[in-house]
Amino acid sequence: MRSTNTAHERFTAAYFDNEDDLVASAAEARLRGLEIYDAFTPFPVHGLDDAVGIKPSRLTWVAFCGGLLGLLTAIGLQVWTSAYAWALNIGGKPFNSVPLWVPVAFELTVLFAGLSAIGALFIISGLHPFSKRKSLEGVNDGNFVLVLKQPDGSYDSDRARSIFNENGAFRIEEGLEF
Amino acid sequence: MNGFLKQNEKNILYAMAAIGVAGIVGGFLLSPRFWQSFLHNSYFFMTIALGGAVFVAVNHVANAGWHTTFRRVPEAMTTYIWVGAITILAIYLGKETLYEWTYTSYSHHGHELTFKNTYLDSAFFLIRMLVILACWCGLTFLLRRESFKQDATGDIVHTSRSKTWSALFLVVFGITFTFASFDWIMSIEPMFFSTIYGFYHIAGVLLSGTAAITLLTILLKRRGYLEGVGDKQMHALGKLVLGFATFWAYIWVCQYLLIYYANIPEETIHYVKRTSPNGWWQVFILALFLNWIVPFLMLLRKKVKMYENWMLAACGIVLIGHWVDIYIQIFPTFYPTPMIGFVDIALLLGFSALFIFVFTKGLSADALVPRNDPYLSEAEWQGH
Repeated sequence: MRSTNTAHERFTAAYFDNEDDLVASAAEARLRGLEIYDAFTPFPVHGLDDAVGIKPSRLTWVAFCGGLLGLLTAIGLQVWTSAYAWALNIGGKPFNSVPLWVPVAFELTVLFAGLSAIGALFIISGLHPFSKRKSLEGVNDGNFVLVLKQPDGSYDSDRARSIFNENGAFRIEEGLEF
Repeated sequence: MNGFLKQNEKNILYAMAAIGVAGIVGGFLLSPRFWQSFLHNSYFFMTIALGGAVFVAVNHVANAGWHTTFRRVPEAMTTYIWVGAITILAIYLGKETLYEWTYTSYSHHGHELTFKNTYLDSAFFLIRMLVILACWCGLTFLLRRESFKQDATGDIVHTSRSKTWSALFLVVFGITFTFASFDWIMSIEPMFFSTIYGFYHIAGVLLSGTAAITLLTILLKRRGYLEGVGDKQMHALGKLVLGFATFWAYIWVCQYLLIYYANIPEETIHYVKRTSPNGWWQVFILALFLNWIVPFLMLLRKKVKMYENWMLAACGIVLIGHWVDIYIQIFPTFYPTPMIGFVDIALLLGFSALFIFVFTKGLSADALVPRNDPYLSEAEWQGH
């Protein structure tokens, strides 16, 4: 989730060159009571969800609602056009012939669910056009980045740094915004 | 079966087997529906065993490691293919009851349907049956042997050989199983044809095979075996069952829709019989519910895939659904109304007992979890 900061939080980002170090320091940070903001990896890492303690994604609900909307759109459009607005006799089938609605209903369900999920993902993670979000260096190539979040009042730079250094981070950045 | 079953469970299985033998002997002598029921049940358990083989082969080809901790479960299921092959061969004895093409010649407007009459020939039918069964028995035997050898020697060459055999098996299976479903099930109605029929049955194999693997893995886990199977694996198996249920429904609609749309008499007769108002249409809808709608709704949420009881229920429903699905492929051709008789139940019990005996015997042939598999650490890591 994107967070445009109002100076209540500070972020510490650590760069690792392999996923094991990332997972290990995520687990240790949580053990020491530090809040993890997010983790960025070039590929899906097994066990990262548990180590970061990520909450169940709400994206599934967006996809479900999108799929439902697609289903209703497809059925509504087909029934309205074929049975009411411009009823045509095709092959002697009934005007409102349910089996014939299935392929379009299926396709539009998948299309709407997929597009709404991708759209929601891009908006939430700040990947949309004109986004001012800064990108992390090399996170699509070989860098694994873990970002911690601490309240401004109790910010303790050394606490985060010690965990990262112990686990082999090669670069640490601090900032007010991520 | 050493150790996997308790003594009273063995006694129940012996009783089931005895009922099965009584059903076979009694049904053969007395019941007019014996051969239909025998085909129904032998084909049902054969598809489940083949589901295990496909599961192993697909994972070998994909270089997958997640299933290594419970791979012996589908491997033991494939040992049933040998026994199932004998029961399928026995179908040949009942060919006059099952297949009207054994004594009929087909023509259309006075023209002899040469291809149909040549293809649906008893000798050619038997040759195809022998070739198909030999392919399945041979390739699954080789796959299982490589797995045991790999575990004994720890040599990686057996893992790559497994991959070769798996790739070969998948190609051979796709072709042979299409012909198997055409020959053994579709030719019950010799004038009906559907080119997607084989694929529809492959969807059934994938669905019921994965459901059976999940079911047996959970049951073994409850007995204290397979500790290496954790939430990650259960989640993955649940996703596979959900996906294959939807895939089955997709193929089901593909076949139904085209026949409905084209409205050609020799094709629609298949569905006219299966949706007739004297009871068959309820069974027809029931199959759709048990194979797709119920498991789909049951398995949609992520968390429920890790609840063992819930998964047992869902997989049980899928297996019952697959049994009903094959029932409705066979019986409406012969009977105007649905009926389940003593023979059907007795044969189901007998074949179930046989399957469990063969399965547990296959399971105890070697270590339950491979010790030297190169993918073992990956699977064990996911098991936590």
